[in-house]
Amino acid sequence: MNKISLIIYLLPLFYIVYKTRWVKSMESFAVADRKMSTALLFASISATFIGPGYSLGFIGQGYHWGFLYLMFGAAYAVQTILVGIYIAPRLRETSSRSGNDKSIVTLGGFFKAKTGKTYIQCIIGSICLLVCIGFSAVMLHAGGTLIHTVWKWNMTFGMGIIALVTAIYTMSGGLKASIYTDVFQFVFFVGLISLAVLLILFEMDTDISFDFSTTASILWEKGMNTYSIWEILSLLFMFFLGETLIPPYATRTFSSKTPSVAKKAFIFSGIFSFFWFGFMLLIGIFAYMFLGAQELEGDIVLFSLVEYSHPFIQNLVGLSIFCIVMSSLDSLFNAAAIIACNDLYIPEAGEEKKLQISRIAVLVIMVIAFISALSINSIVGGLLQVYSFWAPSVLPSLFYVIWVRSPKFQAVVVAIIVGFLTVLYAFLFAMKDYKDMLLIAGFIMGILSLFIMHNIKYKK
Amino acid sequence: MYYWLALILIPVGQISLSIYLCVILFKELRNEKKDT
Repeated sequence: MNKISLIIYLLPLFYIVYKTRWVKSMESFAVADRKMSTALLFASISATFIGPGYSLGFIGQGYHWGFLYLMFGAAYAVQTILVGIYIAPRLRETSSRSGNDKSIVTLGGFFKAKTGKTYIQCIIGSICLLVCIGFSAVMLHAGGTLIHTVWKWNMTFGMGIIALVTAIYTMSGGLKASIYTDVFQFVFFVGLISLAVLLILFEMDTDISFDFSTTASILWEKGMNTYSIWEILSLLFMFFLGETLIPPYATRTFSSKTPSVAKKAFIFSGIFSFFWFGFMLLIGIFAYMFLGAQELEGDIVLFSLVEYSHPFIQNLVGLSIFCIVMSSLDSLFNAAAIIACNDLYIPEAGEEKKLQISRIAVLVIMVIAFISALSINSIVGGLLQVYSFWAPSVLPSLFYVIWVRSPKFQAVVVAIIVGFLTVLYAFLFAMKDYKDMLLIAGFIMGILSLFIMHNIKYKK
Repeated sequence: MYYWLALILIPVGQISLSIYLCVILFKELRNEKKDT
């Protein structure tokens, strides 16, 4: 590892951590004082969604199937833009309009404000926590793989280092530190990966006669022959709804200066994501033309490509993947800690006590995520498992409480139970072929049960 | 040809975006000092 590049990376990072050190109020820790501007929020949301799966994973998919995954990337982009137009501003606006602005810092809190039931806050909080820990474990595993591949360190040791560094600055500066470092990491990895690709094109004296379009269409054909229509549809569903307003995005929405800031940040991030996915797939196809067909695992295609380049470029790529992992991980640690403190630790504790609990929660979550990370095999596979949990159990009722003027708590409870049980059944008993079908069914059943329960007249 | 163009233009655009965000970030951080 080139020490100079590491110092160039660490110095500004330390500066940011120093600037946001040891915040003193829960408002700063949980929602960054609700002062975030469009540009910062855009970069932070983008840095959060670009984890190893949406970078290394996508390059691997480009290598294997060409532009096939651009469909799924587009589904994700459209979802983010729709959230920006219809959901994020409403979420932010409601939290201001409810008169108790300061208390709504989580999705669980939002559910409580809408339904008036503390136990619904606890249920939503528990699911959010589970999702955050699942995602954190995936990120940590990816970080460990990276360190092992680039620096030949022991994987468990690498995971420990990443977890510890991220936990320390998240504990200290809360969401403020998380957003500022996200922006920095975003600048760093987007800039560096772009620079590395340009340098590779120059350095490798790329043969322009490489037939990009023929290769892309061969790979596309191969992909279409491998994936069944059903698999494509279920992947579209997963990419469309899998990450919709997961806790880190929700906390970012609450931290925006105004509803319109949240709206713009999500829309810009959605537009950016489309170009990002296209770029990743292009790198994958380029790698296929350069390396030829090999039995490469998706996650290491990028490293196989840069092995042929100058060590300086290898450093750039190594560092940028490091940023990608940390920027997603800190958002998850932070969101999980806020959830643990606000949704699960219900007694009305004082500001200081809550802050203290949030900080301890970061440490506990780090340890749980670390242990879970030891049991994940593939980055994308791991992500998809977490995806499948989120959409059926939370999203139907989230849309319901956002869109319906006076939501009924009975409908929310039933929809969550129906969605959750379907996921549980899918995980425990369903055969592999039927798993995806059950998850989509869970989402639809959740919506149906909401519709039915909402129209029942309850005795007061 | 379009693919090559995209492979060059997207990174160039992203580098410009990074520089712009970098300037905004450090401006915000300077203001942060005034707040505390």
